[in-house]
Formats: sequence, C-alpha cells, structure tokens
Amino acid sequence: MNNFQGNAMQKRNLYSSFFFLALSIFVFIEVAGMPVGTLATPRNGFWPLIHGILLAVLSLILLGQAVKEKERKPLPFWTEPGSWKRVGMTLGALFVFGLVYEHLGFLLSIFFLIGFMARSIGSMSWLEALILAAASSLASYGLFGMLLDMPLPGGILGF
Amino acid sequence: MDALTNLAYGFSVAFQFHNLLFCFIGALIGTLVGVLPGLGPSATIALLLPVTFKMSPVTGIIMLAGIYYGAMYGGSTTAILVNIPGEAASVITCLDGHQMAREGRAGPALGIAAIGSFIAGTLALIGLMVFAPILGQAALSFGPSEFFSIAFLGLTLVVYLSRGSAVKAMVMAVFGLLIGTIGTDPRSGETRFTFGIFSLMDGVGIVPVAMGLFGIAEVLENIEIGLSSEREIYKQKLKGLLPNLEDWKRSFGSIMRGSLIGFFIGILPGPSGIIGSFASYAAEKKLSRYPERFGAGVIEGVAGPESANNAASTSSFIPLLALGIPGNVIMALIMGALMIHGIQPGPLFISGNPELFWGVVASMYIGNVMLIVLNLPMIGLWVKVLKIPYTILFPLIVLFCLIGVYTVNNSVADIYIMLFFGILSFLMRKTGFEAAPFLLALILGPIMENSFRQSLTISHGSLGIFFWRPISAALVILGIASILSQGIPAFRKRKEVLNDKIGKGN
Repeated sequence: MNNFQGNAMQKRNLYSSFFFLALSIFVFIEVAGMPVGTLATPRNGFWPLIHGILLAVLSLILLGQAVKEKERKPLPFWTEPGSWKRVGMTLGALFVFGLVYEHLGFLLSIFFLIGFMARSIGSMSWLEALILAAASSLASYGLFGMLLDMPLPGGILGF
Repeated sequence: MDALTNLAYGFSVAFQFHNLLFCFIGALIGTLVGVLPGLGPSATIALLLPVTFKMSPVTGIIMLAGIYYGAMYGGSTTAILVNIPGEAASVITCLDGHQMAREGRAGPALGIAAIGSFIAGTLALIGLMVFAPILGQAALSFGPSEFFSIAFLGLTLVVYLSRGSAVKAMVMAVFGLLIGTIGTDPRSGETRFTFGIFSLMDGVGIVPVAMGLFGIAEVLENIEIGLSSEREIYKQKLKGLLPNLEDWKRSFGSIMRGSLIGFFIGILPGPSGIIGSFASYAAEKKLSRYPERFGAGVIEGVAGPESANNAASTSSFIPLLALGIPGNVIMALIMGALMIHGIQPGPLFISGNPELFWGVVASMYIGNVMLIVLNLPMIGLWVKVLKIPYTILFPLIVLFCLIGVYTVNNSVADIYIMLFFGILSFLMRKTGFEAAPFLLALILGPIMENSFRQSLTISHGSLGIFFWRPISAALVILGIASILSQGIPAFRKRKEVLNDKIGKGN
C-alpha cells in the first residue's frame, strides 16, 4: 500500500475502529446478563467475554494507528460520482424483494427484480430487459423448482 | 495395498452415473467461473451449496470439489488470454502466460497450464490418499487441547497470510468468532445474542453469510466500479495447443517442483493456491539459467505456478477430511456442506465414511481427465464466454444468491441476513478488511469454543493444558509466533512485497 492510499484510508480506519469499539462495548453489556463462570467451569458468557475484550483491544490499536496517520487528500468513497445510485438501487430492490417474495411468489418477484436490475442498473433496453427477466425467471423455475424440486413460494399465481 | 483396494471401491462409487454426471457439472461450472473474472470459486460454491441438499453427500461433495479444482484450471485461461486472472491463484500466470500469448504462443501456454494442472492434480491425489488416512489415524489420540490448537493455528495463519493490515485481519477473525457465538450454546442450551429472534436460535447460517460476503458484495463492488468497461480479448486464432518437445523439456521439472511445492503448501492453512503459485514461480526463477527472461514469456513461469495451485487445491482437503479443520474459505464452505448433511469431518471421518472419502478421491481422478477435455479442445468456447457482458451476469448472480439462500430454511429472514453481510462485506472491502478470516472464524468458532471449554474443565482451569502435550504446544507456539512476527519489520516487509505482487496482478 503506498503512502497516498495509506493516508486516504485514515478516516475510514477511524470510523471502523469506532464501529468495532462500539461493538465490543455492546458485547460487554450483553455478556453482563450471562453467566460467565470461572476458568475451571467456563459458562456460556465466557467465550464472548474473551472476544469482547480482544475486540476492544484491537479496536484501540486500530484507533491509535488511524490517529497517527496524517491525512492529505482523501480518496473518494465512491469510484465515480453516480455509482452510489447503482448500489443503492440494487440494495433497495433486494430489500423490497424480501418484502414481496412470498406474497407475489417466485416467478413474478424474480421477473420484476431481474427486469428492474437489467433496465435500471444494467441500462439494457426495455425489450432486452424483458427478455432477460422472462428467460431467467422461467429457466430458474424449471431448473430449481421443477427439476431439483426445491421449495419455491407460489404466491398469487399459486405455483 | 489397502489404499488400492479402497481406491477401487472409490471408483465403483465415482463411476455411478449420477456421480459422474455431477462430477462433470462441477468441473464444467468450475471452469466457467474460473474463466469469468469477477465470480470466484468461493462465491460459486456458496451459491450452489443449497443445490446439494437434495443430493446424497457423496454426489454433493463430488460436485463442489469439481467446482474448486475446475476453477483452478479455468483461471489460467483468462490470465493467459486477457491478462486478467480468473481467480486469485492465477495472478502469477499473467506474467509469462500473457507474454507468451502476445508472442503468438497462447496455444502452448494454455496447453502446458492444462497438462501441468492435470499432472499436479493427479500427483496430489496420490499424496491425499497416503497422507489423509495417516493423519486421521494419528488424530484419534488427539484431545480437545489439540483440536483447539489446530483451529487456533489455522486462524492465526490465515491472519498472517492475509493481505494488508494484520490488525484488521485479527479484528475480522475476532468478529467472526463473536458472530459464531450467536444462537444456542451447545453445552448449556442457553441462548446468546438472539434478541428473541427465532431465526437466530440455531445461529447465523454459513450459507447466507457466505453468499452475502462473496456473492452480493462482489456484485455491489462490480456495479459500483461501472458496468461499461470492456475487456481486450485475444483475437488471433488459437493453434498448436500441445507443447513441442523443447517446451516439454523445459517444463517437466517445473511441473514436478510445482506439484511438490503446491502439495505441501496446500496442507497448511491459508490461501494455499495463491501462496503455492508464488512460491513455485520464485523457485523456478531462482533455479533457472536465465532468470532475467522471467516475465517476458518463459514457459516454466506458467508450468510451475499452474501445477502448484492445482496440487494445493487437492491437498487442502487433507486437514479438512482428516482433522475436521478447514484451512481456507473454500474448505470451510465444503465443511458447511458436510455438516448440513449431518457429517462431521475429523479423525473418524475416513473410517466412518469410506464411501464419501474414497468416492470423492476417485472422482477427482476422473474430474482431472474431464478437465483436460474441457480445457483443451473447448478453449474456443471459453474465449467466447469471456465476452458475456457483466450487465447480463450480475442479475443472474443475484438470482442464484436469492434462490440459494431462501431454499436453505424457506425463510425470508435469511435473505435479509445475506443482504446485511453483503453490505458489511462491501464496506469491509472499501475499508481494507478481508472477508476470509471472518468466515473461517465463523466456521471454526464453535469447534474452538467447545474444545477450549472442555480443555479448561479437564485441566481444572489451567491454561497450561495447551502446553503440556507436545503437539498442542507446538501448534499454539507456532500460532502465537505467526501473530508476533507481524511486529518484526523483516517479516512485515516480506509480506508487503508479496501483497504488492498480488495487488499488481489484480
């Protein structure tokens, strides 16, 4: 890793050390409600406690390293200005998919998801996106639902 | 003689029609994902884990193993033709392989990569047949302290061999161990970190985590970078795939050395394919009469590393099958597949599951032959596959992830767990944290916790139990040394040089 990249990582290292430090504190709070036992008779809070301590120590080392680094010109988080939209749309589509999957059923929800991603994120034409969505949902239903007999939700179509 | 009888039995299993079919499917899918940059064997095995639920364990593992060694074969194709390694273990093949292609010698480069991989894979299988039962037999005398120590060493070596910051790799390992505590404590039956969520009672499943870490995160990373980048693909007609006599003379020693180096590195925990191929390249350069020509299209620079990464992919099964300790992420996924079928890898695995062990070993011989056929005469097809745009691939990867993750428990909660780990892994990639120590720790966590608590109970609370028995002591000391060595500048420097090389290859 060169100096420029190393310096640019400073802020991210700072945030991630805070995240893991907060996580270790959360572990301590949770473990406080569990029986820890002793070295001779370790109970179910013992192992998480050890790792909570280890995580806290490592986060502090990471924090120390991040503070020592000098930031010059940070690298942007996103590779190009609009790329967060593609990531956001994909995550949003997957989140909505989880909500409607069992109601709409496999075929319809996969059709809409693939169609949306191909058109909005993959920038395909409407026709290409429709063909990809129809082909992939039908082929995957045939392969996984019918041939491999995997349980896929039928939803409003009933199959 | 016993081994030969067992192998004959293994062939009787592997030659059953459905096993042959899924061996072929595994090798085919493996070659495909090896050829396609952006979808590695870890992601593919994670995606296809649920497909194996309906199969017998033998058939399922035969297919997953085929994907692994198939990807090692296929990875060289893109390295040679496009200068992009299809998977990380083929990074070093880009150096001389692509140069050979530019000089019009793509055929012999692809040929020697496939033939070297075949020879190395076959030799490593003989090693697997010999070493795994011996190690399994020896491990019968192991107590919980040894099992803890082996898992501890596995984890520390993965941390040691990780790219980038060692502290970050350690954070990931500890984070993985903590996530591994979610669910019901097997010793007391009490729940931990479940927050009353029913889906978490059995713990966080390996399938949604692995798919999130490798499948969804890979897609997010690629669509974030942009979907329009076009690859420059080798346009000349491929001819003369069989190396000539001179190529053979120069490559034979490299293949043998690469096989040996790869085999022994594969037994050790860590990304053995990558390390094996780099070690083999370094050895070839050192032993060569013309080291200055390395990087300019020397066939030994393709033959050695390609043999090494294939030998390593086979020998990495040894610690998993004989000890129940996965040495890398792919082995962790295969262990997950075995456990889903109710099979616990470990010292009793080979004697308790001869059909599975010898069937899989025999299928690897058959798979190696299939791969030669898939990789040499069908090379033109793989070149065409390289032209599939990512705009078509990424919705299909997401589709596979969704089907795979839902069918494990028929639970939408698993889709959200996958999504959570996908976002987490995407952020981890942005901040220089690696997924491999995390996933390995998640798998090893329950083994480590159980053996650690058992050891302490036996020793009445003395941590000395890990140092009383020689094997345990040696493993723990080695593990601690690998962590402490991160603080020694000379070791750190060597690691940085290796990371730089891997980074440049990518």
